[in-house]
Amino acid sequence: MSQDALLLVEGLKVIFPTDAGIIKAVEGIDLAIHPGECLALVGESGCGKSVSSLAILGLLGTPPALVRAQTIRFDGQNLQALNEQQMAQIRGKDIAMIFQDALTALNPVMSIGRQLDEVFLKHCGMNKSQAKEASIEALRAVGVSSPAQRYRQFPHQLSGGMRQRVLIAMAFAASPKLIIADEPTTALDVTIQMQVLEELRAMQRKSGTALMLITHDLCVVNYLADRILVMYSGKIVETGPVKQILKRPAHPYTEGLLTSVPRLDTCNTRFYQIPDQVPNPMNKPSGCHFHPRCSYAGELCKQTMPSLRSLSPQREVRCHFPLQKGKGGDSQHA
Amino acid sequence: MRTTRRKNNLLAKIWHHPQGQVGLILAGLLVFAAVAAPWITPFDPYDVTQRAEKGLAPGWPHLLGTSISTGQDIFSMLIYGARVSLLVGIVTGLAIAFLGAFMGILAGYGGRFWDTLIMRLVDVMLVIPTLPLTIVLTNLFGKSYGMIIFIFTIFGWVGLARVIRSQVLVLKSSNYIKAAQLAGASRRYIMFRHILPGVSNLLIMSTALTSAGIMVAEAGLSFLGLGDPTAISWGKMLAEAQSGGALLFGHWWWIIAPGIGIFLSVFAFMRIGLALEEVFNPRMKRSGMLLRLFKSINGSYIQEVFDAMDDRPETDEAGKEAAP
Amino acid sequence: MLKVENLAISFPVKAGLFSKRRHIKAVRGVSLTIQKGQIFGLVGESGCGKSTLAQAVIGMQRPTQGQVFFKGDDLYALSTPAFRAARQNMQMVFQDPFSALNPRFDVQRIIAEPMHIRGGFSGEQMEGRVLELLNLVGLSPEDRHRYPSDFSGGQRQRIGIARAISLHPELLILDEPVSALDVSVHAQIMNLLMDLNEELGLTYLFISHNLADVKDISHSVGVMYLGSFMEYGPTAQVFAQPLHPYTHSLLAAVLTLDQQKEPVITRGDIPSPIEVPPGCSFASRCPLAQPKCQVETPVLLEYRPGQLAACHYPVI
Repeated sequence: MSQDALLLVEGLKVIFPTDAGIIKAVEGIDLAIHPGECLALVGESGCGKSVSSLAILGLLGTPPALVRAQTIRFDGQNLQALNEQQMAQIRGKDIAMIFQDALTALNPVMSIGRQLDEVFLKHCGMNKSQAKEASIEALRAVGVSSPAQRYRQFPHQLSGGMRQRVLIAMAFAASPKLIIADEPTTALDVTIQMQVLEELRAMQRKSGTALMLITHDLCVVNYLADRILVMYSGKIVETGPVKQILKRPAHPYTEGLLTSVPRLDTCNTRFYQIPDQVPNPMNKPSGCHFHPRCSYAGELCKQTMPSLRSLSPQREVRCHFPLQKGKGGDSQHA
Repeated sequence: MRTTRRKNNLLAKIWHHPQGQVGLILAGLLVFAAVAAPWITPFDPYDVTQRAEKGLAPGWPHLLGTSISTGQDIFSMLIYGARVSLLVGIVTGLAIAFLGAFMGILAGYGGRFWDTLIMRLVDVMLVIPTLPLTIVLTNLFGKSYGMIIFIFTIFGWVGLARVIRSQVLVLKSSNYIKAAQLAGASRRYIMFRHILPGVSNLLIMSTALTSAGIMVAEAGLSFLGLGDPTAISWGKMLAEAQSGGALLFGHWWWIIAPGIGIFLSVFAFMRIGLALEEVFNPRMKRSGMLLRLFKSINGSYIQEVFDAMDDRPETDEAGKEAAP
Repeated sequence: MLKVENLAISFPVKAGLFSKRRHIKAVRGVSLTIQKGQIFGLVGESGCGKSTLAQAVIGMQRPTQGQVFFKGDDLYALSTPAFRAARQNMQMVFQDPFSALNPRFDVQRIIAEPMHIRGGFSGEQMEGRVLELLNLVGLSPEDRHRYPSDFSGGQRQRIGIARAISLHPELLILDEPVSALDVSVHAQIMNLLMDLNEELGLTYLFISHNLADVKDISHSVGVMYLGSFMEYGPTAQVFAQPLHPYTHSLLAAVLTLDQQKEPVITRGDIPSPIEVPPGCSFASRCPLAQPKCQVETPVLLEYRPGQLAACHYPVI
């Protein structure tokens, strides 16, 4: 599986030392993305998913973070061995990023056309008029109306959905092999979100770019992703194909997340809630980090952190008593 | 009671900050020197009878020698000079803080009328050339440090008011202020209970930095002879040294001494100001504190932390049962 | 309890010397009624005017036209002391848990602040009430000495809720109270709100862009688009059998976990509130639009008992 992986990360760990204690943001995660695949990294805030992507890209400065990884390999290259300049080269061309807040990701004093041009000029070796043509075409491709006019406009003149589309256009512009999208549609309205997601999916499938989607929204994951990695408190707790996991989750946390999603088709008198809070990253519970909130927790869970084990050739779970066909643990939950 | 608890923490925080510690110690020494001047100086430079031979080189009992022009003990003059610098610097800093805060808050929160009025006033005052005006005023009303404090304050509040006003505008849009308004809070309540504490960080920081700046400016004015001619100040010492021929005769100590005095006082307050800034806005990347923290961390402890994150090999029963 | 009649709010846009005076028509002719103890859900996407409407209801935005009646009194026509008294009877919970609390105040002070401002309570009374409220929202008594920075988003929202109900208000306006929270905390807060509504008999105006939340918590719902209501009625009815094409498109665009069919994408962007097109404001994006829709503005008509829609061709 890891042989033909486009991006291979093994044993990634990130901590932030502070004078109040050590924040353990990422506690040893492995992930692999293959060309053309869409991998979703799912979790709530504080679970370490954004930090992981920043660490992979080398965007975490060494104060304040300390990063260790066994392997970070992209397209055969060891990213950890590269210096800042080389990393910057890769970041623009082979790996592109889409951030959540388009307003802060775009330069407010430059027209969006110029910002798009820059990508083409820098990474595709085009001249100015070629770049302009390519930019307008890119805007059209993501569904921006009147692209020639929009080309001259500034970020604040566009709506949120438009801006997000510009970011997508910029990301796909240099035909990267991998795009990392961190909560790309969270701030958008429902109808706009659908438009943007549809464009994203269409572009991804057409260009065969791999996509790493970071989000907490399981519905978006269902729509876009092939495989999913569920993160909780710095550790990966479940991995596998999206359809399988969403139908039959193996980890209690995944089950909790799925049940918490408000549904339009059923009528609840109460919302399902996972009790308590996400653990304090400086002071985590002993054993399995999830046990204080887990309705299936046993004694073993309080003492030992479970390892990531295979449930099937495609699925892994980190739980002493995973929920799957009555295998192990209580027979009450299966 | 709650506010004093936070203030105590503040002093402690500056103390623990390495730059802040230096600043506090120096400032403390300077204040001590200024206050205890009559007791710690070997001679009283104001006392004409204690004048000694003119132009002595450093030695005993005149540690820094005597002035060429009057035969006063330079060391004693140095100590006494601290009085003027600190007095003018700190008093002006505080006065500017009060006036600047008042105007800033009024402009930011008092309504469009006050805002426009005060901002126009600010624009006008920024254009006025301060130095010629100072010369004119001191000639008209007499050369005293009270005059100088007055003039500095009148011109100095402007910059602070603008900054405070910006901060007030930011605070104004906070939801907790809306909540208070909803509960029926009067404008005055919000100004004193919410806005003022909200700008207090900025105020304290700027007071320290402003004081530093004022000290240099005061030295300059004294050098030009616009200060009280009867008082001893570092600026005046420099002026006397220049006119008395210190360079000519190679009495470098007469020039260096007040120079160091000015430098140290400014340095002390700037350090305190910068420490305050870092305490209030811990900026992770560039903070020197953080780098120091990093260097001091025990490398093997870090390795332990990392190693503890690894999955352990299968030893438990549940593991064997759950595996396919 | 609350009645809004024909509310319209416009903001003038700064115009150059030679261009015509233009206005942002944030709210255009909105009417709604909320009975005591009921929860009214106000749904709409960004820019539809729901926040502006909320500001008008709590007395922070004087309407350009129309009236707000709170417990029978015209809010903006009241004398100043009566106005203050009325407003103390309604409180607001804000969207952003971070800016809603003064970071320099401890929790005790934050929650007791409305009491402090209103006056007439002894120190003991306030402390007792704070403890009572902390218990009600699910926080512990020791928390009252802590500062907001020690708490997570969900907990801060609880503090905000505690503060809002400290003076026993009858009406609570919640402006996207859970939008900024994580999924698991989201559910906790929603449950808390529902419990409080039952236990204390509070009336809510619940504003959200999240349809599922509105569906589960509110008794009646109003769907807003570009400043006016497209549909209005009892929640169960509106969600089960929506009349208006816009409501249909909102529901169809929501992603669900078990995707039986592809979500329907509504093309186009929301028109600008400055240049409101004539006729039905949704006509430019409506899949059912006819020529009449772009000429004549539809009025809210009762197509089914209790359910109103502003459409010439509602989906019956």
